[in-house]
Amino acid sequence: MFIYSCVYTDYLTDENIDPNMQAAIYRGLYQDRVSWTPDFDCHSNCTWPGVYTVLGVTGTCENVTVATLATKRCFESTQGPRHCNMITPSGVKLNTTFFETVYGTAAALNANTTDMYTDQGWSPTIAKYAFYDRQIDSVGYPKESDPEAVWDCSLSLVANRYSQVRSEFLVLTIGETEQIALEEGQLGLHDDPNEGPSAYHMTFNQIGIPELTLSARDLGAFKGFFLSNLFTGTTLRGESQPAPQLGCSQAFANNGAREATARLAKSMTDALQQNPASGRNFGSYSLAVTNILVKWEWLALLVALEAAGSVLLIGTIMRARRQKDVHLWKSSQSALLFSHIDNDGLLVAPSESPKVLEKEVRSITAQLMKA
Amino acid sequence: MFASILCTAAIAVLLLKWNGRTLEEWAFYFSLNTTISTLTTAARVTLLVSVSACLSQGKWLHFVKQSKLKALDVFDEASRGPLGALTMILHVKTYLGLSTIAAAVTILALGIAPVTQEVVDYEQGYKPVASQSAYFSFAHNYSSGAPILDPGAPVSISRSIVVHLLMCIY
Repeated sequence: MFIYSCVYTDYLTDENIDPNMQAAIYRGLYQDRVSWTPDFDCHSNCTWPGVYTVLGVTGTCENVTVATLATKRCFESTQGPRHCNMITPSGVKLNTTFFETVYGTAAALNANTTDMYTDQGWSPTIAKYAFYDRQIDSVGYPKESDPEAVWDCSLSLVANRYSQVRSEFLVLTIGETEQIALEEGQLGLHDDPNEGPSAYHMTFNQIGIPELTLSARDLGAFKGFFLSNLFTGTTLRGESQPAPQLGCSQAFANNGAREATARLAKSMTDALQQNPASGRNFGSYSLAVTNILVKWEWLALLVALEAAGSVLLIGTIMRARRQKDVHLWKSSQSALLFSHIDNDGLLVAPSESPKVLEKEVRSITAQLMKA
Repeated sequence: MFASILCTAAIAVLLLKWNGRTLEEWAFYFSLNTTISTLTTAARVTLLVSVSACLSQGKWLHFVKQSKLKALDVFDEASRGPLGALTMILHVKTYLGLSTIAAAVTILALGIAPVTQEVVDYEQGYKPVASQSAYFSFAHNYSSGAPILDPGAPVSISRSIVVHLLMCIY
């Protein structure tokens, strides 16, 4: 238990949370599109054919409205607001305020301070928080009938198994992600390039995945941050409201507990991949090229006509050989001029060969005259 | 005819050699399409020369049997182009045989050029380059090197984030 005290108490301040991780948390909650610029190198098209297991964060949320509202206890005030408190099934306390027709709590976000040590070791859960949501009409006044909802959420470390990783024109795409839940981890001393020798680390070592570790200092910093009023807070709606400590309650109110938690987990996972201790997975580099593809079927007409032409030629030659009296006059106009039709209606062709005819026509002169 | 077959064979060999290769490898003065088009035109022209000669000779062979003198005109026109060839096809009963094949080849040869243009297609692809490597970062552990501060230090946004926010404002 000394170790727990050391980790938990000594680092219960958000001051020592990694600024990049803190930025990732805010980016996940407030930026419309979580813009992660992945740390990768590929100037064309690249593929990583393997399966890569990396450390990640996953978030879950469960609607616990009925169970939580059943624990609701309110304290009436004769001329002031009514204060209520309730506790979720995971043990997160929520406080709300309601002042009929004046103002009321629209969103309340609080985290759990319970430790995450079990008999088996350290839970991979890094934060447990609950979110109270009341749909107050922004134009009108808060009413008793405004619907309430309560969510129990948690953020946990997880092993993400990536496959079909590829990049195309500076966009890294992870084709498939399988999330593997981590079992309880063990606290031990490790040499850490950032923290020096004998630094406390949480080690998650289970069959089928590589050893995953988290610095105890950073775990403490996470817990400190989620417990601090940078994260927890209350949003009021109405008029004449006291200045509340907002925390991140407004971001949860805008996005909904599930969406906000999912974005938070994704942004934190992205930030983990870029921490100084990350390694590099090497893949194959491909250059964009234009491939020549032959569609042979379109050559069929040419080939068919060549075949037909060949058949025609051979057939004509064979036929001409059988008719020895017919010379190869082909398109010769001389042969036609030297032909005539006799009285019996027979077409009498010249007996000379085309070569002889050609010689003859060179010596003959003619002129067209009217018959 | 031999020249025509030679041109067609040249097209086939060219396509066989370049099928699946990349356009970037083509280093000839004319593009692949122009080369194919030139060979196709040569094949078509030489084929029609042969067909025309066959039709002209067919004209004389046709009169081995008694026939109407009009056939002379029909054969003559058919040997000159597709329109005459079409006339011959329309009178297929009279000219059935090799002459019909010749007329059909003359007409169908009109389609050789456009159809052969479709033989070569291009698609975007990727070629592995062994000389260059690619990587993406992954994390099996997380240790930011966070400093140890005194317990009870005031809760605030990290200073580096404040700097980023100020940069956005300015």
